[in-house]
Formats: sequence, structure tokens, C-alpha cells
Amino acid sequence: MAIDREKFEELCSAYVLGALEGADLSEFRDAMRTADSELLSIYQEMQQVALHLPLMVEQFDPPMDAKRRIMSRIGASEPPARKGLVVRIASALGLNEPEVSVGIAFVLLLVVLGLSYYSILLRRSVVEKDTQISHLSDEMIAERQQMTVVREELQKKDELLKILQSPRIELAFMNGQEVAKSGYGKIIWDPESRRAILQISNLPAVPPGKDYQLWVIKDKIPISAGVFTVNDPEKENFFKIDRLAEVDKKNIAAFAITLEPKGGVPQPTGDKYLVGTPSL
Amino acid sequence: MLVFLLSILRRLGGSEDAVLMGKIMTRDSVALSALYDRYARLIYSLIRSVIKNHEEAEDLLQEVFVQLWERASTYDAARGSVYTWIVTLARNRAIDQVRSKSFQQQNKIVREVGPDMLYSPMENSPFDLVVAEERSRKMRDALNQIPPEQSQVIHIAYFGGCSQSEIAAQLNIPLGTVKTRMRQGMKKLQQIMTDR
Repeated sequence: MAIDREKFEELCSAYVLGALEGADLSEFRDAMRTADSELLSIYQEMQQVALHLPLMVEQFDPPMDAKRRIMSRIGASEPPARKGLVVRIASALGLNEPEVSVGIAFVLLLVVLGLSYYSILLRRSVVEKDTQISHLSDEMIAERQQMTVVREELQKKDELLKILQSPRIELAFMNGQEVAKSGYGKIIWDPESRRAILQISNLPAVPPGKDYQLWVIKDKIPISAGVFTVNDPEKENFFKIDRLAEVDKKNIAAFAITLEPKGGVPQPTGDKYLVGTPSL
Repeated sequence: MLVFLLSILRRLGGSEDAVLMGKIMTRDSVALSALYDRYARLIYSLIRSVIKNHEEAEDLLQEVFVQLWERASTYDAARGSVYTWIVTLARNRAIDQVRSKSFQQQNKIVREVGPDMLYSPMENSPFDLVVAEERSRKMRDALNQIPPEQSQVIHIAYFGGCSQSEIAAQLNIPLGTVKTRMRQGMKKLQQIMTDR
């Protein structure tokens, strides 16, 4: 008679745990003889569970010398631990271990000394490179400053060109006076845009606390056209005037440059350095 | 993916066991040493859980591996894995020892462990050094997931070597209850193992 699944599971679970006995054990064995694939599958699954049960208990390490005692009982010594490097080298070279140890220590000492020397060389090299980098950095800053100066010069020339390209420009020459006989200057302006360029040469450097001031004389009244400073008398100096107070040369009696307190004054107070009239 | 890798590891572990066992059959003590390294912790823990005495457990651990050495030629790979063989051997020896002491003390008849209990076919060993600790933890978790009355009867049967009727007497419950709890507990464990 075929056994039902539930009954088979009951017998099977007890069997794989070793808890089946007597008539139940006989019944299970009989069932196994005629078991179909489904019952055999149940049996295998139950058996898997039982075989995993040893893993469910708390795990302990066996005593340290248990293995040695087992190996001793079967007449075998415990497999020797792997030989250390020194022993293997000594064995290979036919030397004793102290000799090999001293040799290895000496080699290691040489390696350490070599590495220390290499470290010193590296440090020196790093210092040299740092110095080079510092010099290069200074050069770069100087180059950058030079570029800024050149750029400013270019900008001035560009502005001068713009004024010169105007369809109608006016010009006034200024000559040196008693205090600066060799000095001279020019004013070029565009009446339409009212922009002007002042070019001066051979004026002495401005003393501290002073500025040169440009005046436009109109109806005998001097009108300030701006202040400027000359640092290098050897060079020609260009100055831009954004908005000239008077642009009609008929109304301009003269241009004059005086030395005045720093920042300029409403009316001229100092010596005249350059004076000139517009060209006809 | 993890299941696949564990499966490969287990197969590799089982394959390594078989190689070691083949060498032990040719009296290679180094192979026995290697097999000891793989299984000593598990077997010692299993024996301790049955005997409850660590000194006797150590003696029995030695007995198991000496017996494994002496009876290596009787190992039949077709009947099961090396794991199954060693575990079955250790458990039977531990239960025998407990029952022997019990017989001496109580003059009771020792229940004989049948020959078909020695070991059974099993494709793969559930034990592998790489995954053993993790699997052990998971299995303990699984045992904790089933009702305590069910895990109790399973524990007494497997680690105490008691029959169902002995368990019924020990716990003072009907035999039918023991059978039901055992079946339900094993089914749940199987279910938990399948789900993992």
C-alpha cells in the first residue's frame, strides 16, 4: 500500500535524525523500496537538512596539541612547518645560519645606507628645483609687468591713432620758457570728439608734491585741461585728454603748462614751462 | 550570483576532500594533517555538543581521526562525500560514548545505530573552510527561527541520539506530538535553507 506524503515526511524526518526505531523504521524502509521520485526528493531534502545540523552548534577550536597526538598515534610526525628564509638560503649555499644572518644584515645595512644617500641627493635636487622655480617665477612676474607697460603704451598709441585718423584735427605747438628752455610740446585734438593728445619732451621731472598742469587760455582766462606728471624727462611723454574744455581754435588764445601743487589748482600760480598757440 | 559562487566553492571544497581522502588511502599522513585542518573545528564542536565534556571530546576527536586513518580504505565516494562520512562517524562515536556511559550508570539497553546510518549519498559537502563560519551562523539563525519546541526535539534526536519514544519519555509528551514537532521543524528548516 502506498504511503501518503505526510506520513512519509514524518518517518523520513525521524530517520535522517537517527530517531526512528522499531515498526516505524521497518515501515520507512518498506516505503523507500517503492518510493517514487517525489518521495525520494523529500528524503534527499530532509537528509540535506540533517547534514547541515553540525553547522548549527557553537563552534570551538580543538586543543592545540590534539593534532600532534593524532599524528603521533598514527606513527607520523606532524608535517614540519615551512622553513624560514634564512634556513633555506643557508641550506642552498651550504653555509650555517649565523653566517647567512650576518650576511643578510650586512646587505640590508648597505641597502639602508644606499637609500639614505639617495634620499640626500633627492633632497638637494628638490632644493635646487625650488630655487629655479622661484627664479622663473620672479622672471615671469617681471615679464608680466613689462607686458602691462607695453600694453599701456599700445593703448596710448592706439588712442593717438584714433585721434589722428579723425577727418579734422587741430594742432598746437608749445615752446619751452625760461625755466625749461629746451622743452617743447604738442597738442593734437579732434574738435568733434573733443579728445586730445598732449605730447611733451625735455620737461624736468616733477618734484615731490607737484604736478604739471595744462591750461587752455580763452578770452584771457586760463581754463584747466588736466594735470600730469613727468618722471623720465629723457623720454617723450604722451598724455590723453578725454574732454578738452575748448576745441574751437578761434577761441583758444594759447595753451600753457605750469608747475603747480599736486592735484592742480583752479588758477595758475607757478612758473610757465611751455606756452604755444594753435596752428593756423 | 552569491549562490553560484558558494556552489563553486563547495564543489572545489568537495573535490579537495576527495583528493585528500585518496592520498590518505595511500597512507599519506600529510593528507590526514590537511584534512584535520579542514574539519577538526567542526568535528570537535559536534562531539562537544553531544558529549558536553571538552576533555572527553578531545579524546574522541583523536579517536575519530585515527579511525578515519585506519578505515580510510573502506571509504566509498559513491556512497557520499568525505564530509558526510566524517560527520556521521563522529556523531555515531559520540552518541555511542554517551549511551555507553548511560548504560554503565543506568544498566539500560544501548540502542544500536544501524549500518544505514553510517553515511548516505550526498552530491556536495556543505562544509568548506571559506564559507563554513558564515554558513554556521546562518544555520544557527535558521534553528532559532523555528519554534523552540520543534528545535528542541530535533536537537535531542540529533545531538542526544535519542529515538522518538525516548524523546517523548524525556519530555513527558505524547509520541505523536514528538513526531509532529519533528516533521514540522525539519520541514521549516528545509524551507529556510531553500529560501537562503
